[in-house]
Amino acid sequence: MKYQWHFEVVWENFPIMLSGIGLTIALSILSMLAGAILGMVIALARLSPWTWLRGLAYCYTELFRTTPLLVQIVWVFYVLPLVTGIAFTPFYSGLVAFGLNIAAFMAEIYRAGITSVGQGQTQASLALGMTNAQVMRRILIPQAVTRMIPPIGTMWISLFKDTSLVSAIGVTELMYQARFLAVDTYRPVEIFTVCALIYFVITFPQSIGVNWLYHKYRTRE
Amino acid sequence: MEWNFAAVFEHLGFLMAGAVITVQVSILSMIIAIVLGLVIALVRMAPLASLRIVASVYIDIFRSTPLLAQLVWIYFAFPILTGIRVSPFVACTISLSLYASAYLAEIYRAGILSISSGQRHAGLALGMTPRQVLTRVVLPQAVTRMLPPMGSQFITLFKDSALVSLVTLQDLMWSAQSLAAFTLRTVEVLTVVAIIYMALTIPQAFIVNHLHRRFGVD
Amino acid sequence: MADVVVRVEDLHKSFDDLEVLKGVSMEVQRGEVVVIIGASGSGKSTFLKCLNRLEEPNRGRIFLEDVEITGQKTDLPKVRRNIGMIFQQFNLFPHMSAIQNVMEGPRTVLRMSGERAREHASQLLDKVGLSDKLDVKPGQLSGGQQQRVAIARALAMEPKVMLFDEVTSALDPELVGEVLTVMKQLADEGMTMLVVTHEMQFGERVADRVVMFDEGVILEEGPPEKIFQRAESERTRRFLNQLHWEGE
Repeated sequence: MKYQWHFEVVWENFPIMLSGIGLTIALSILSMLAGAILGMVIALARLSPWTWLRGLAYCYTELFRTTPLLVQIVWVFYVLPLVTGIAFTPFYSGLVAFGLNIAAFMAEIYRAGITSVGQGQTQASLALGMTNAQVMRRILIPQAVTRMIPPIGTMWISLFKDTSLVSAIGVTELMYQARFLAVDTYRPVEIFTVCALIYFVITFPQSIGVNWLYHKYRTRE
Repeated sequence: MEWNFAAVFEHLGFLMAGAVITVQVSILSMIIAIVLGLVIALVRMAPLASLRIVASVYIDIFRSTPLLAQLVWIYFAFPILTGIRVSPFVACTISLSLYASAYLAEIYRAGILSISSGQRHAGLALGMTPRQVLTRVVLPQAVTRMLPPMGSQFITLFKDSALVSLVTLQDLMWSAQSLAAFTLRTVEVLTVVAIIYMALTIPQAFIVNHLHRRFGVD
Repeated sequence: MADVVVRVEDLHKSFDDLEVLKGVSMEVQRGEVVVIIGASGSGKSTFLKCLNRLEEPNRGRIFLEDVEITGQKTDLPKVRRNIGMIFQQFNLFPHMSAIQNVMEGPRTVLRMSGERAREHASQLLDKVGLSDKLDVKPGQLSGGQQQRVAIARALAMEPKVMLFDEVTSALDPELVGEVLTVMKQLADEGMTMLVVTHEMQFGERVADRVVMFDEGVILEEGPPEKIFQRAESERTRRFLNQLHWEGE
């Protein structure tokens, strides 16, 4: 059989999809910022001298790394209003879920970056009379940053694609609009093809950029 | 709020049936992806430039679009285009396999490329053929380097399999959502389901950590 | 009265079940050069790292100019700025140029002004023969050059004593001499030094005293001519003999 493509429905509804892209991008950027900041706190907790604090931070990261993102999103969506007493829009509860999730992964990237700087660097700095805070600020973090950038890039791309999951809780981002239009227009083939294509067009150049980052920071070592 | 887990524990069997589907679809997809990924990796390193491009386009398509977009395309669009009707289980297995195979192909390739040219030269200098160098020298070393990232990839696949609930495959997440609708104890159900996922994932994570310590190279 | 810079009393250190130091005592006079020799695993590097508490001793006391530094309340950064340390693997900060490496201690720890720190650092790099490498990153320097920058970095803190932990072991043979020359120069200027090394010629020419470590204790010590020519212990003689054979 031969399928008759009808892309007119896509163009007719393109403004709807476009609004979805805007929300996808906004959610990705805000989640990344929230996760980057919260992740820093968790990473410092994991590197702290107190066992109980390290244990707490470890449990946090494991909790978010061993459960499916979709479960986390739906869980936050239902639990957040119960715990806070405030009605969150789907967008904001999606943002909270992603912020918490990204923080766990960012914390691991920060920690891995810092611990990858050799023990000798810490010893040499301490031998000069630096305090632990000075060693962290002057010696470890500046060297760790270049090692963190490529994995952060990889994580950003995952995040960007994963934001499609919030369609499950009714955030009207790209994936949600596509699923809505697919039903509404009876044209799932065209709609879903264009939807995938849009994701590809936005993500692929970023992937190339991230590959370039890996290349750049590897050859410099 | 008041927590009440009684309703959840009453229907634990229902959730467990979903968990079985989750495990089945994950393992089956991984097995297919391991084989498919190997084929793609070999094509990606083929002597013919046109073949290499085909493989790299495949890898880029599956890695640069969301799994959910691929899943709905295969579940909704593919049958319309081809007239082939498939069950949700088959559609989801195909989708997860294709997705994971793109990542595994890159893991294979990186593992093979990570073996230094000194090893290749040493093999050639002994009079081995290129094929012998690959099977006797490069692959045995590369395989141990591939194991840790392959393990991580399986954990990712296992967690990602929760997406199949969105196209009505009755896995653990789907069971959770329908049990939540039935008992109106959404938070309790989801909490228990999160714990079940953790209980299934943590042992995998332990194994992968062990692989990283044993075979990991920096 | 003797002017003691470092005094160590009955130092013990274990890693898990492995006892590395089993009671080491030592006094080092101002201006003295003590060379520590011994097989690998004899505890000599651990001993050095206990002196500025990069390794935490399990038992025993250490005094720096009669002030105990092994107490719970010791201000470690303040103690360490008075003890220079040079490492086998150089451990230069790779994200900083040679002169920034040397300035880092005075700037961050002593809060010296940038201008003064730079002037001081360039003098020190000149002293170790690297006045043409001020703005070069460690990655572009040879091992011998890196180690000389590391010595200048330690000197910038104007330490009361300097610890050298097998500083030539990671160097290509032809680069060892330039580092030893700098160390000899420091010794001649009256720096108090503890040197863990396998370079026996350095011991013979520069040391005031040679200390032989064996299985976590001091086996014997004395002036270099005595240890190298007429060692009392059979083990010391055997250790020195093996070293000569391997050198050929």
